[in-house]
Amino acid sequence: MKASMSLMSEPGNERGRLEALRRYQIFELDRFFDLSLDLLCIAGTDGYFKRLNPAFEALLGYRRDELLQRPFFDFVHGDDREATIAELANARRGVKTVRFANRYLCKDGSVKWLDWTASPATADGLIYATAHDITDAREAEEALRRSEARTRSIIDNLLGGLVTTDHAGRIESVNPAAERMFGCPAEALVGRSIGILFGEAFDSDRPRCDALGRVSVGHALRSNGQSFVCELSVFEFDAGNGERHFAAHMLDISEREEVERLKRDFVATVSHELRTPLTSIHGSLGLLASGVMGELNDEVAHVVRVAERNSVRLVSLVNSILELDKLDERKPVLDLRPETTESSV
Amino acid sequence: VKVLVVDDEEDVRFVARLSLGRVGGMSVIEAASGEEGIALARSDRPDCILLDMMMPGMDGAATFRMLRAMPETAAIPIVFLTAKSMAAELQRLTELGARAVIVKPFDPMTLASEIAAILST
Repeated sequence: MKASMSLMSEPGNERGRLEALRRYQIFELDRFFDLSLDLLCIAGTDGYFKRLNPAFEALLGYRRDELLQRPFFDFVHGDDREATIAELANARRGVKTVRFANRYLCKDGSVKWLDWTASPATADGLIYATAHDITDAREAEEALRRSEARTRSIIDNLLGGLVTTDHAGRIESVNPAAERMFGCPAEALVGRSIGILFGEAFDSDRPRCDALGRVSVGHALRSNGQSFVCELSVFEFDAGNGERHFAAHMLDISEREEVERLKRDFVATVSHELRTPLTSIHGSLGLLASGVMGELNDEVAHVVRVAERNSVRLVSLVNSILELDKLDERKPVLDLRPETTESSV
Repeated sequence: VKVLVVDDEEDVRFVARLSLGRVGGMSVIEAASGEEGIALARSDRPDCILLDMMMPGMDGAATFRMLRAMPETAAIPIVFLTAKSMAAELQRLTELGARAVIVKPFDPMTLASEIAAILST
């Protein structure tokens, strides 16, 4: 403003005053151009930069004369040249460029993402363009994309089925293992209540969270109507928007359960079958040892006592096997009675 | 006291006979099958029936139902004898209507007193 005042107060005629004003306006525009942190340039439709502001030098590391001497395609990343040529062809036809991004190669070998806005002046064969460095944002997007791809890959390759639901128990996603487990594509399940996986006519907006935060075992239903034993772990998560969501991790344990059942049956049968002869042995020896069957001499009485004592031991061993079997019966079982989400908070 | 022992295992019947008869001073009659047990129960009218659960052919549960269905045996107290000691099995037998359940192998010296105690309740 100080400069302006001194120019305005310069003595002279009207022409001199206007000339001074014009020079000042040019000076001001130049300064705006030079000081801009965004990239400003005038490029020719012939593929060369005509004028560049210093921000180009600061960002790309080339001197301005280096940038002006070579076609700007030389500085564009090989993968983006085709798209840049197409964009230039559009500009030649007078089409404005809005949000066109390409990569520029820096002198130090690094790469910068630039987001362009350009207006062509077709009559003069010129393009007036501004560009903004979006490298950080692009890298953050790429990191996020990779992170999402990694998480997706883990979920897709999980051997267990994973089903996520909204706060009301409506299915939001189904991984491939769950698709295989239930014999049903994800599209057919998304939007429906998770209750249908357990064979229930369940369409209220109340999720069943009895199994929340623990591993439970229950019966689930394939799409062909076949029931299978399922080990279920349900947990809650925040999707980032403060809303409650649920995820259920499921394992088809039918085979394991069948083996367990066979084992239990075998143990039960063996121990039960042992009890019948034991009844006779233990009973007979007990009667002999008690003297009910008549007095025994010391030596015979001792032999009978040894046998009786060991028959008692055998009875207790059989009982121990059955006790172990009883422990197996105490596994938690999935209870699918309806419950509100509030009651589990 | 007259006790009818129904068990397909001869050796178990032998031990039960000695336990109840010689130790407990009870009168014992024996049957080797459910059918035989029903016939003896109708003809001899015992004070108690000690009935084995696992028998070939008519098992303990079927024999029990027949005995309960017939007017002349319906009121006789029945004690089940079983080799299965699982809680679920014991509950099933009690729900069936048994007076009591004795698990094999039983103690030969206390079997008679156990039966006597059950009958007195």
